[in-house]
Amino acid sequence: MKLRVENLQVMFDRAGDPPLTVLDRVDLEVQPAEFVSVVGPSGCGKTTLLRCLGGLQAVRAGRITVADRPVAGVDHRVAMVFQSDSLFPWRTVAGNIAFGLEVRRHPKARTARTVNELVGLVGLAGFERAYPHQLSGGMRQRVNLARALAVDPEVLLMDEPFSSLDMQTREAMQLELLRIWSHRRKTVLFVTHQIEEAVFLSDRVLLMSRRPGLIRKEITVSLGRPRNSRARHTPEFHALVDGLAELLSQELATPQRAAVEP
Amino acid sequence: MGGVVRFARMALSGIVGIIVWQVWATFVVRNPLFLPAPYAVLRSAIEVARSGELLGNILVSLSYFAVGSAAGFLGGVFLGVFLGASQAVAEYIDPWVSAAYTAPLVALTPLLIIWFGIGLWSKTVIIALLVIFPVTIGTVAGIRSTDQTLLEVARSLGANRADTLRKVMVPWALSFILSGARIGVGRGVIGIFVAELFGGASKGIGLMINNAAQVFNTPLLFVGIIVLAVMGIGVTTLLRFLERRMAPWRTQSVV
Repeated sequence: MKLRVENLQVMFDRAGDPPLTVLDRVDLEVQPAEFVSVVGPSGCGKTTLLRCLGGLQAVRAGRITVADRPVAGVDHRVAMVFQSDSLFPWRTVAGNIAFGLEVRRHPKARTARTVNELVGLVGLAGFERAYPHQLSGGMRQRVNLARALAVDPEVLLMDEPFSSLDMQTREAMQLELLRIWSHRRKTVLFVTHQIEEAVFLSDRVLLMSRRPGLIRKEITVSLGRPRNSRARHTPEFHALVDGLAELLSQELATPQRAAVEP
Repeated sequence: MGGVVRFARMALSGIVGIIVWQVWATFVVRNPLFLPAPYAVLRSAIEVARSGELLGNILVSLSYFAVGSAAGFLGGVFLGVFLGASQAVAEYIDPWVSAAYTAPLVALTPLLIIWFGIGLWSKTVIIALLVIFPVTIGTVAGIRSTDQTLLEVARSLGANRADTLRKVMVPWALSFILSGARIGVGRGVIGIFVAELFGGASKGIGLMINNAAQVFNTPLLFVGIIVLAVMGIGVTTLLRFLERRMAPWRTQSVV
């Protein structure tokens, strides 16, 4: 389903100081089954943007729609993959994946079937009864992804899900994510601070400005699909990464602008 | 390996302590009225155990201790969940809980005997009162400390308030609840002694201690104290075991 954000504005109240404009008129569109990444300088509001879409952050102004129907607050059509270590430590792998279905009162048998399918899809067969503290970082992120996919959302929001993984695991998980996504073609908005990751995964990469954040540039990734790790060694890949890095450093060099008054 | 070493050290400490105690009592104090030697305590223990008196006393004390602790524990969890879940309710009730936690509730024993009689009811109530507030405070602390990200995960997946409480906050708080219970049990053991001091009971470990004290039978006094200590340690160990079983992801106790 298509995700659309229009004129999104977010402010944080600060005790004693004037409110801080974090996002200032963000416009973006993600087509159905499109994979779009957002990169930007740290503190630019990438995570805040995702939290707004996930209904976890109040917006000051603007409009968010999925399939032309507005998203207000937590919406069943949107699921979020949080940064690492957001699994319930007292639940097994299967229990974590089932959480969303339980609270949505899905029948037990159907839940069990869905959980079983997802455990297989994310490559954790045999680990259903393991607890998060018994898993590696990469495996925990697989559970994290499966838990969001279990509720069968239209839109998947991913907030730097691989940022705490080491380089090798991270690249392996990127491939895994693409494989899983090829089976479950969700509309994905993926936030990261790693340009290579954004390019490798996405159909398009959106570059955010420094705070107050807005979408500064949009780059279409011309790499074909399906992609494998060889894609990382192509000249196109390097050209895209270098181009984005250049844009990002330009962005960092420009002075911070004042927020536009609504 | 680490477990064996740990156990060996604890055993060694116990043995050395008992030897020092024996030597001190035999050669320095030399008066069993002031300090009975461990051997005299052991003999006294065997004597009351043989007559069946000890077991009878233990069973009476243990019965109301178990019922009172269980009631106090459940009450504490309910009260704690209630207070932890609602800020407004907590603000009304917090001062009372804090006051009740700090106040020497055992001093209420005579009053409770007037209310509930000299039988086991008054003793059960005093134990429950001693256990309930540490458990309440532990539960509230646990619920309020719930990881924010986990709360957001639950919200984002569509959990309502009741789900969040039951499936996120309470499991998170489990270690805190059991820590509160451990403190409560320690207080409850003191409660056994005090309740029976006032209680006019016909049987019980506390009564046995009080009677021994009145006739200056210090070896028997020690037997009673040791029995209470062992009961306390037993329940505490059980709670630690439960905590490890039910919250294996916590590598260390929260309190």
